[in-house]
Amino acid sequence: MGKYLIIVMIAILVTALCISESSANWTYTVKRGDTLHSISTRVGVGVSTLRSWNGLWTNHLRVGQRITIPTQTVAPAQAQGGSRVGVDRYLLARLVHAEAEAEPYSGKVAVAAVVLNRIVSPRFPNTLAAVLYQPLAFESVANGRVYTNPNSDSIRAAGDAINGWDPSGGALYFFNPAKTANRFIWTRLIITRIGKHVFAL
Amino acid sequence: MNWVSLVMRMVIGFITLFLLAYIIPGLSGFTIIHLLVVSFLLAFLSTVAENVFLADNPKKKSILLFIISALTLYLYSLVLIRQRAPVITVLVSAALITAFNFVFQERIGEKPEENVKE
Repeated sequence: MGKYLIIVMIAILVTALCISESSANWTYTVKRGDTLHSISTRVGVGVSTLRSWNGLWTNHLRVGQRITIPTQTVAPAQAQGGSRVGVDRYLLARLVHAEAEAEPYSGKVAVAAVVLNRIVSPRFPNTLAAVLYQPLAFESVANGRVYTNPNSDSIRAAGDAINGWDPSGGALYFFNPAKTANRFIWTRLIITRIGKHVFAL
Repeated sequence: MNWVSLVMRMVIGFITLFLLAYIIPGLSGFTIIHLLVVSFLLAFLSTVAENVFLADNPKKKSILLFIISALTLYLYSLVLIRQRAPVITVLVSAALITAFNFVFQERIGEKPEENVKE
Protein backbone atom coordinates (compact mmCIF):
# COMPACT_ATOMS: atom_id res chain seq x y z
CA MET A 1 0.00 0.00 0.00
CA GLY A 2 2.84 2.33 0.96
CA LYS A 3 4.66 1.57 -2.31
CA TYR A 4 1.57 2.39 -4.37
CA LEU A 5 1.14 5.64 -2.49
CA ILE A 6 4.75 6.64 -3.25
CA ILE A 7 4.34 5.71 -6.94
CA VAL A 8 1.15 7.77 -7.18
CA MET A 9 2.80 10.72 -5.45
CA ILE A 10 5.79 10.57 -7.84
CA ALA A 11 3.44 10.37 -10.83
CA ILE A 12 1.52 13.44 -9.62
CA LEU A 13 4.78 15.33 -9.05
CA VAL A 14 6.13 14.49 -12.52
CA THR A 15 2.81 15.48 -14.15
CA ALA A 16 2.78 18.77 -12.24
CA LEU A 17 6.35 19.50 -13.33
CA CYS A 18 5.48 18.75 -16.96
CA ILE A 19 2.41 20.98 -16.81
CA SER A 20 4.25 23.87 -15.19
CA GLU A 21 7.02 23.60 -17.78
CA SER A 22 4.69 23.46 -20.77
CA SER A 23 2.50 26.32 -19.56
CA ALA A 24 5.36 28.71 -20.27
CA ASN A 25 5.20 27.83 -23.98
CA TRP A 26 3.04 29.27 -26.72
CA THR A 27 0.66 27.37 -28.89
CA TYR A 28 0.45 28.70 -32.43
CA THR A 29 -2.23 27.75 -34.91
CA VAL A 30 -0.90 27.41 -38.46
CA LYS A 31 -2.53 29.80 -40.92
CA ARG A 32 -2.53 29.87 -44.71
CA GLY A 33 0.84 31.02 -46.00
CA ASP A 34 2.75 29.72 -42.98
CA THR A 35 5.62 27.32 -43.39
CA LEU A 36 7.73 25.91 -40.59
CA HIS A 37 10.58 28.11 -41.80
CA SER A 38 8.48 31.29 -41.79
CA ILE A 39 7.16 30.53 -38.30
CA SER A 40 10.68 29.80 -37.12
CA THR A 41 11.93 33.15 -38.45
CA ARG A 42 9.00 35.03 -36.92
CA VAL A 43 9.29 33.59 -33.44
CA GLY A 44 13.06 33.36 -33.36
CA VAL A 45 13.18 29.62 -32.64
CA GLY A 46 15.11 27.25 -34.90
CA VAL A 47 13.32 24.92 -37.32
CA SER A 48 14.94 21.86 -35.75
CA THR A 49 13.84 23.01 -32.27
CA LEU A 50 10.27 23.45 -33.48
CA ARG A 51 10.34 20.04 -35.09
CA SER A 52 11.67 18.29 -32.03
CA TRP A 53 9.24 20.09 -29.69
CA ASN A 54 6.30 19.14 -31.86
CA GLY A 55 7.39 15.66 -32.89
CA LEU A 56 7.37 16.58 -36.58
CA TRP A 57 9.08 14.21 -39.02
CA THR A 58 9.14 16.74 -41.83
CA ASN A 59 8.84 20.52 -42.30
CA HIS A 60 5.34 20.18 -43.72
CA LEU A 61 2.35 21.61 -41.88
CA ARG A 62 -1.43 21.57 -42.21
CA VAL A 63 -3.59 24.68 -41.98
CA GLY A 64 -5.12 24.75 -38.50
CA GLN A 65 -2.41 22.56 -36.99
CA ARG A 66 -1.43 23.69 -33.50
CA ILE A 67 2.27 23.80 -32.82
CA THR A 68 4.05 24.47 -29.57
CA ILE A 69 6.58 27.28 -29.58
CA PRO A 70 9.02 26.92 -26.70
CA THR A 71 9.65 30.03 -24.65
CA GLN A 72 13.39 30.06 -24.31
CA THR A 73 15.50 31.65 -21.67
CA VAL A 74 18.61 33.72 -22.09
CA ALA A 75 21.71 31.58 -22.09
CA PRO A 76 24.15 32.59 -19.35
CA ALA A 77 26.89 33.52 -21.83
CA GLN A 78 24.52 35.75 -23.77
CA ALA A 79 23.14 37.40 -20.66
CA GLN A 80 26.31 39.45 -20.23
CA GLY A 81 25.22 41.88 -22.95
CA GLY A 82 25.19 42.10 -26.73
CA SER A 83 23.10 39.68 -28.71
CA ARG A 84 20.49 37.58 -26.87
CA VAL A 85 19.62 35.20 -29.67
CA GLY A 86 17.86 32.63 -27.50
CA VAL A 87 14.99 34.94 -26.49
CA ASP A 88 11.51 34.31 -27.89
CA ARG A 89 11.15 37.22 -30.30
CA TYR A 90 7.44 36.78 -30.91
CA LEU A 91 6.56 36.82 -27.23
CA LEU A 92 8.67 39.92 -26.73
CA ALA A 93 7.05 41.54 -29.77
CA ARG A 94 3.62 40.98 -28.25
CA LEU A 95 4.60 43.05 -25.23
CA VAL A 96 6.23 45.73 -27.39
CA HIS A 97 3.07 45.96 -29.49
CA ALA A 98 0.83 46.15 -26.44
CA GLU A 99 2.95 48.69 -24.54
CA ALA A 100 4.37 50.87 -27.32
CA GLU A 101 2.24 50.51 -30.45
CA ALA A 102 1.94 54.28 -30.95
CA GLU A 103 5.56 55.01 -30.01
CA PRO A 104 8.39 55.75 -32.46
CA TYR A 105 10.47 52.78 -33.59
CA SER A 106 13.34 53.48 -31.20
CA GLY A 107 10.77 53.68 -28.38
CA LYS A 108 9.58 50.20 -29.30
CA VAL A 109 13.13 48.85 -29.28
CA ALA A 110 13.73 50.57 -25.93
CA VAL A 111 10.68 48.86 -24.38
CA ALA A 112 11.95 45.49 -25.62
CA ALA A 113 15.41 46.33 -24.28
CA VAL A 114 13.96 47.12 -20.83
CA VAL A 115 12.47 43.62 -20.70
CA LEU A 116 15.78 42.09 -21.75
CA ASN A 117 17.64 44.19 -19.18
CA ARG A 118 15.30 42.86 -16.52
CA ILE A 119 16.10 39.26 -17.50
CA VAL A 120 19.78 39.97 -16.90
CA SER A 121 19.20 41.95 -13.70
CA PRO A 122 19.35 39.98 -10.40
CA ARG A 123 16.39 42.05 -9.15
CA PHE A 124 14.02 40.39 -11.66
CA PRO A 125 13.25 36.83 -12.79
CA ASN A 126 15.67 35.39 -15.32
CA THR A 127 13.30 34.20 -18.04
CA LEU A 128 11.31 36.21 -20.54
CA ALA A 129 7.99 34.65 -19.60
CA ALA A 130 8.62 35.15 -15.90
CA VAL A 131 9.49 38.83 -16.40
CA LEU A 132 6.44 39.38 -18.58
CA TYR A 133 4.01 37.67 -16.27
CA GLN A 134 5.45 39.04 -13.04
CA PRO A 135 2.41 40.35 -11.11
CA LEU A 136 1.72 44.07 -11.66
CA ALA A 137 4.80 44.45 -13.87
CA PHE A 138 3.02 45.37 -17.10
CA GLU A 139 -0.43 46.88 -17.49
CA SER A 140 -0.92 45.24 -20.88
CA VAL A 141 -0.54 41.79 -19.31
CA ALA A 142 -3.14 42.62 -16.66
CA ASN A 143 -5.69 43.95 -19.19
CA GLY A 144 -5.03 41.23 -21.77
CA ARG A 145 -3.76 43.54 -24.52
CA VAL A 146 -0.55 41.51 -24.65
CA TYR A 147 -2.47 38.69 -26.33
CA THR A 148 -3.10 40.67 -29.53
CA ASN A 149 -0.88 39.76 -32.44
CA PRO A 150 2.05 42.13 -32.95
CA ASN A 151 2.59 44.03 -36.20
CA SER A 152 5.76 43.71 -38.26
CA ASP A 153 7.28 46.84 -36.68
CA SER A 154 7.00 45.38 -33.20
CA ILE A 155 8.48 42.07 -34.34
CA ARG A 156 11.38 43.91 -35.97
CA ALA A 157 11.88 46.06 -32.85
CA ALA A 158 11.98 42.96 -30.66
CA GLY A 159 14.55 41.45 -33.04
CA ASP A 160 16.71 44.58 -32.90
CA ALA A 161 16.65 44.54 -29.10
CA ILE A 162 17.54 40.85 -29.06
CA ASN A 163 20.43 41.62 -31.40
CA GLY A 164 21.82 44.07 -28.85
CA TRP A 165 20.33 47.52 -29.61
CA ASP A 166 19.37 49.29 -26.38
CA PRO A 167 18.16 52.88 -26.91
CA SER A 168 17.03 52.97 -23.26
CA GLY A 169 20.62 53.05 -22.05
CA GLY A 170 20.26 50.02 -19.80
CA ALA A 171 16.94 51.07 -18.21
CA LEU A 172 14.93 48.68 -16.05
CA TYR A 173 11.67 50.63 -15.96
CA PHE A 174 9.63 52.69 -18.38
CA PHE A 175 6.42 54.61 -17.91
CA ASN A 176 4.28 57.34 -19.35
CA PRO A 177 4.69 60.35 -17.00
CA ALA A 178 1.35 61.79 -18.08
CA LYS A 179 -0.51 58.69 -16.95
CA THR A 180 1.46 57.19 -14.07
CA ALA A 181 0.61 58.08 -10.47
CA ASN A 182 2.57 55.18 -8.99
CA ARG A 183 4.83 56.54 -6.22
CA PHE A 184 7.46 53.83 -6.54
CA ILE A 185 8.05 54.40 -10.22
CA TRP A 186 8.61 58.13 -9.65
CA THR A 187 11.43 57.33 -7.21
CA ARG A 188 13.47 55.75 -10.02
CA LEU A 189 16.28 57.66 -11.72
CA ILE A 190 15.07 58.76 -15.15
CA ILE A 191 17.84 58.41 -17.70
CA THR A 192 16.17 59.08 -21.03
CA ARG A 193 12.92 59.90 -22.77
CA ILE A 194 11.72 58.46 -26.09
CA GLY A 195 8.31 59.47 -27.41
CA LYS A 196 5.82 59.51 -24.54
CA HIS A 197 7.79 57.07 -22.39
CA VAL A 198 10.53 57.85 -19.92
CA PHE A 199 13.11 55.18 -19.09
CA ALA A 200 14.54 54.77 -15.62
CA LEU A 201 16.97 52.69 -13.58
CA MET B 1 -10.01 26.85 -76.35
CA ASN B 2 -12.87 25.61 -74.16
CA TRP B 3 -13.32 28.46 -71.66
CA VAL B 4 -16.08 26.76 -69.64
CA SER B 5 -13.87 23.75 -69.08
CA LEU B 6 -10.96 26.00 -68.12
CA VAL B 7 -12.99 27.95 -65.54
CA MET B 8 -14.44 24.76 -64.14
CA ARG B 9 -11.00 23.20 -63.73
CA MET B 10 -9.78 26.32 -62.04
CA VAL B 11 -12.68 26.32 -59.57
CA ILE B 12 -12.29 22.60 -58.89
CA GLY B 13 -8.54 22.97 -58.42
CA PHE B 14 -8.98 25.92 -56.06
CA ILE B 15 -11.62 24.26 -53.88
CA THR B 16 -9.75 20.94 -53.75
CA LEU B 17 -6.45 22.53 -52.73
CA PHE B 18 -8.19 24.89 -50.29
CA LEU B 19 -9.81 21.99 -48.44
CA LEU B 20 -6.85 19.61 -48.70
CA ALA B 21 -4.63 22.17 -46.94
CA TYR B 22 -6.62 21.44 -43.76
CA ILE B 23 -6.21 17.69 -44.08
CA ILE B 24 -2.83 16.76 -45.48
CA PRO B 25 0.50 18.40 -44.63
CA GLY B 26 2.51 20.34 -47.18
CA LEU B 27 -0.03 22.83 -48.52
CA SER B 28 0.01 25.31 -45.65
CA GLY B 29 2.41 27.62 -47.52
CA PHE B 30 -0.23 28.40 -50.15
CA THR B 31 -2.10 31.63 -49.43
CA ILE B 32 -5.44 32.33 -51.16
CA ILE B 33 -3.59 34.27 -53.88
CA HIS B 34 -1.19 31.37 -54.40
CA LEU B 35 -4.13 28.97 -54.64
CA LEU B 36 -5.84 31.17 -57.23
CA VAL B 37 -2.67 31.43 -59.31
CA VAL B 38 -1.80 27.74 -59.12
CA SER B 39 -5.36 26.65 -59.94
CA PHE B 40 -5.44 29.04 -62.91
CA LEU B 41 -2.06 27.73 -64.08
CA LEU B 42 -3.04 24.09 -63.90
CA ALA B 43 -6.36 24.76 -65.65
CA PHE B 44 -4.73 26.82 -68.38
CA LEU B 45 -1.81 24.49 -68.97
CA SER B 46 -3.97 21.38 -69.06
CA THR B 47 -6.37 23.00 -71.53
CA VAL B 48 -3.45 24.04 -73.74
CA ALA B 49 -1.94 20.55 -73.45
CA GLU B 50 -5.24 18.99 -74.54
CA ASN B 51 -5.16 21.07 -77.69
CA VAL B 52 -1.50 20.35 -78.35
CA PHE B 53 -1.77 16.58 -77.82
CA LEU B 54 -5.24 16.42 -79.40
CA ALA B 55 -6.73 14.63 -76.40
CA ASP B 56 -10.25 13.89 -77.52
CA ASN B 57 -11.55 11.38 -74.97
CA PRO B 58 -12.06 11.68 -71.18
CA LYS B 59 -9.34 9.13 -70.40
CA LYS B 60 -6.60 11.02 -72.26
CA LYS B 61 -7.85 14.33 -70.84
CA SER B 62 -7.76 12.97 -67.30
CA ILE B 63 -4.24 11.59 -67.67
CA LEU B 64 -3.05 14.94 -69.01
CA LEU B 65 -4.80 16.85 -66.23
CA PHE B 66 -3.28 14.56 -63.58
CA ILE B 67 0.26 14.96 -64.88
CA ILE B 68 -0.01 18.71 -65.37
CA SER B 69 -1.67 19.27 -61.98
CA ALA B 70 1.03 17.31 -60.19
CA LEU B 71 3.86 19.06 -62.04
CA THR B 72 2.37 22.54 -61.63
CA LEU B 73 1.73 22.07 -57.93
CA TYR B 74 5.18 20.65 -57.24
CA LEU B 75 7.10 23.22 -59.28
CA TYR B 76 5.02 26.17 -58.05
CA SER B 77 5.66 25.16 -54.44
CA LEU B 78 9.35 24.65 -55.10
CA VAL B 79 9.93 27.91 -56.99
CA LEU B 80 7.53 30.42 -55.46
CA ILE B 81 6.94 29.12 -51.95
CA ARG B 82 10.47 27.75 -51.66
CA GLN B 83 9.27 24.58 -50.04
CA ARG B 84 9.55 21.11 -51.53
CA ALA B 85 6.00 19.81 -51.45
CA PRO B 86 5.69 16.16 -50.35
CA VAL B 87 5.26 13.87 -53.35
CA ILE B 88 2.32 12.06 -51.72
CA THR B 89 0.51 15.35 -51.12
CA VAL B 90 1.10 16.39 -54.72
CA LEU B 91 -0.11 13.06 -56.11
CA VAL B 92 -3.20 12.95 -53.87
CA SER B 93 -4.09 16.55 -54.80
CA ALA B 94 -3.63 15.90 -58.51
CA ALA B 95 -5.66 12.68 -58.32
CA LEU B 96 -8.53 14.41 -56.54
CA ILE B 97 -8.55 17.36 -58.93
CA THR B 98 -8.62 14.92 -61.84
CA ALA B 99 -11.37 12.82 -60.28
CA PHE B 100 -13.61 15.80 -59.44
CA ASN B 101 -12.99 17.30 -62.85
CA PHE B 102 -13.88 13.97 -64.51
CA VAL B 103 -17.14 13.71 -62.58
CA PHE B 104 -18.22 17.30 -63.22
CA GLN B 105 -17.18 17.28 -66.88
CA GLU B 106 -19.22 14.11 -67.36
CA ARG B 107 -22.27 15.74 -65.77
CA ILE B 108 -21.96 18.90 -67.82
CA GLY B 109 -21.30 16.85 -70.96
CA GLU B 110 -24.52 14.87 -70.42
CA LYS B 111 -26.84 17.87 -70.16
CA PRO B 112 -26.78 19.10 -73.78
CA GLU B 113 -27.46 15.56 -75.01
CA GLU B 114 -30.48 15.30 -72.70
CA ASN B 115 -31.74 18.63 -74.04
CA VAL B 116 -31.33 17.44 -77.62
CA LYS B 117 -33.39 14.29 -76.92
CA GLU B 118 -36.23 16.38 -75.52
